[in-house]
Amino acid sequence: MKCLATAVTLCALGVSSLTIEAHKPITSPYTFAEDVLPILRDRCASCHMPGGPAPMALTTAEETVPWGESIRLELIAGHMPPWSAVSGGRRLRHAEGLSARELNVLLTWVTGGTPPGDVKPAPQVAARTDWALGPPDLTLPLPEVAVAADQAEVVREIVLPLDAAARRPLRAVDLRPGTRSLVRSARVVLRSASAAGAGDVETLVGLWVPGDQPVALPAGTAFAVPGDADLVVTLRLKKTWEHERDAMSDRSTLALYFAGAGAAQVTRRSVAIAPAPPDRGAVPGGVVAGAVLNDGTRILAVYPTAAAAGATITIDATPEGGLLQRVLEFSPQRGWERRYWLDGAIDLPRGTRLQTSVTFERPPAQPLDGPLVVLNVVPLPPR
Amino acid sequence: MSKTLLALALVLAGAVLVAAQAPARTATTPAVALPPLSLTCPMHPDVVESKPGSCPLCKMNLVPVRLDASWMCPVHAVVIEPQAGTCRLCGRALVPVVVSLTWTCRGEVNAEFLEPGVCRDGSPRIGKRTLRPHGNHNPQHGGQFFMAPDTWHHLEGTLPRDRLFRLHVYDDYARKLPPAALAAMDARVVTRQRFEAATRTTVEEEAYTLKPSKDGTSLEATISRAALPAAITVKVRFKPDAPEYRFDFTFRELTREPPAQRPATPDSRNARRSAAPAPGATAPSVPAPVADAATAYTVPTAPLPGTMAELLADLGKRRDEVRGLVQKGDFGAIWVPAFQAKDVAVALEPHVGHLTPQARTHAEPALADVVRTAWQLDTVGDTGNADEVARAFAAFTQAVSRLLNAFSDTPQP
Repeated sequence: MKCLATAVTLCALGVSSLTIEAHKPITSPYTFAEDVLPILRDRCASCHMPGGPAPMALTTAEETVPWGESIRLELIAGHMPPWSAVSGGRRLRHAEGLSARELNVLLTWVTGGTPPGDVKPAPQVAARTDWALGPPDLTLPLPEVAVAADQAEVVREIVLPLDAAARRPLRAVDLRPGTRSLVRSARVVLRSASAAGAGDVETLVGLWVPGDQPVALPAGTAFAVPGDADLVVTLRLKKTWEHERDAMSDRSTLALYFAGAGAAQVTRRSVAIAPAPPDRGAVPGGVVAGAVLNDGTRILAVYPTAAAAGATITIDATPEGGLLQRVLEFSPQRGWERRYWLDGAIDLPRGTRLQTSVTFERPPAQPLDGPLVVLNVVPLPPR
Repeated sequence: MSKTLLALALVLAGAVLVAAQAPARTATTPAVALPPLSLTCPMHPDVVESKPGSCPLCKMNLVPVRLDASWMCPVHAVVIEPQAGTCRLCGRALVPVVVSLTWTCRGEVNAEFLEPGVCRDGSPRIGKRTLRPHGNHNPQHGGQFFMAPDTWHHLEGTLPRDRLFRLHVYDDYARKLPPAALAAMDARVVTRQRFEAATRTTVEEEAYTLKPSKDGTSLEATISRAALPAAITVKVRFKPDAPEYRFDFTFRELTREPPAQRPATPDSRNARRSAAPAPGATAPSVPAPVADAATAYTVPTAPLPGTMAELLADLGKRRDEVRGLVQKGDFGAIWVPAFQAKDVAVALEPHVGHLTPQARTHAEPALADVVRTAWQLDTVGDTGNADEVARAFAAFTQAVSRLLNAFSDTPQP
């Protein structure tokens, strides 16, 4: 029925051309060549490219048309792109969803007969080979990780001891996958026995997923690297169905970017640590955690833990005597946990009440015993 | 897919009406250009392509088919005519359907051609119109019609008299299911149920098993007296190992099931399915004679207002129209104001430049959410599950509210 309007319009405008050309019910005024390809190229091709991590490339009409119904379902469910989030008053870096027009064009096209339009040979979309943040200060090749023919997924923890020269405050970490179609995520932490004594076992310095862009910490801030810290990379490799029976391997490269001396140390603040639900059956997803900041705090970024997958999380801040401000609202999808960098930090004065609400679509299968959300913060500089 | 096929029917119908105004096509001398050849899968008729190749689902080679719009009697499926009119058997108004067009020869039952021509005995080939799957989504008994999520079963509920609920079940060709298939179904009518928040379960307080009717052509249940408008939920498991589907019917009045033989007085449901609403209509609720439906097709998109203030007012109006249809249970019509709302959202997008940076961070995702949830409403409106409609409507109305809030403090340009 939705195609009715367009259909009638087409009838009124050009019946003769329809009877000649319309082999299938084409009701979309948008075509692949003119309207759809630019959106796919700009918004989807970092993953949906030949040899990319997505199981299907979407760079030509021939590749895209068979996936029309899947595209429709993913888009109306809000699953793609997989990390859309909303911050009240701040933009998020590299986390924009599709715009209203882009969504409408794609959905109209996939439901309206997927017309190809005037398809010209398009330049091949190529994987990026340079480092998005520029030449790294240090690159660390990771050892080869194999995924046997009868394996679908491998998670490998790789410990990289740091020498003295590398024990410098970090402002960014990036990863270049060796086999793009295989690497699904990389979690990079600093693990330190001395920090563990202070209750801070690991510091997450990098959280890489396909299609994401690395972000460097603001100037003058850095992740401190303890003297005894190792860099630990948890690499998740997973085959797409195209390579189901193939033996594959990956040899990725890690890039480190060091900060200058005297940078303020970025710390973690865990929020929404769930109490063990007394009656999980009666918990549709309710975890609400509140805390009052004892010091002025600047929020740089937010990231979920794996336990938060499938939840909708909102973080609100209410300064003393001030108005509530939405720091972030997001719904992390399993396997797509990433860090949300605020484009312009949120400064919260001492006494601000931080309230985090976590709502699970379904009650969690396991009791929640760890943090669900972590903020990366630095002390608010004195005025 | 069914909507697409219906759209095809309308495109082709429009082509015939607007361009040709031709008399009914004869078997031997096509007065107008034939519909173009398409390629379809022998096993998956929903697959329709413009070029030769293989089926994306099963890889079988595609075969040619000539699709056309036709009009069919809602009761006598054998009556398929090339133009709108009335059934030559019962006088009922014909409803638009999608058919495949072939030609055959007398005495050669297996002969099937994609072109008109001359048979071996010198006689002209005879045209044949065969209903396509999902080519007919018109209620056949004046009731409310839904497609099951399995996209194969189709259901029509009627309330022909007080306390009697009747369920007609069809396949994807709008053919009634045989009595044995009906008897194998596990179906019940639920007229009262409540949701227990503590256990997150639905407790059915009043439910009636649907049993085959005396003639075996439908399922029936005698239910408690229901005040009109009556909200009736049907839960169906088509096979023991199949999932249970839910369909929510709303009857504003008793269904006037057409008697077997009498001239047509088309019911409003048929008209609703056959004709789109006029621009700006809150709902396609004005019955129109089905016979006139072909000439009554109207683009359901009203011209968009020009200013930002008018667009925002229009968005609120469309949301209220959707709400009205949801409350009436007229799920099949929700797509009209929902799509008008998403068109308004797309038109509002260039105006975000007038917003403060903070308001813009709220407005941009809200705009996209209005579009996304409008498409969700379109999808769930088809399958008639009130819970899913309610969820989609809640998301839609929340997105509209966020959008209106984001624009509320902005000085008008």
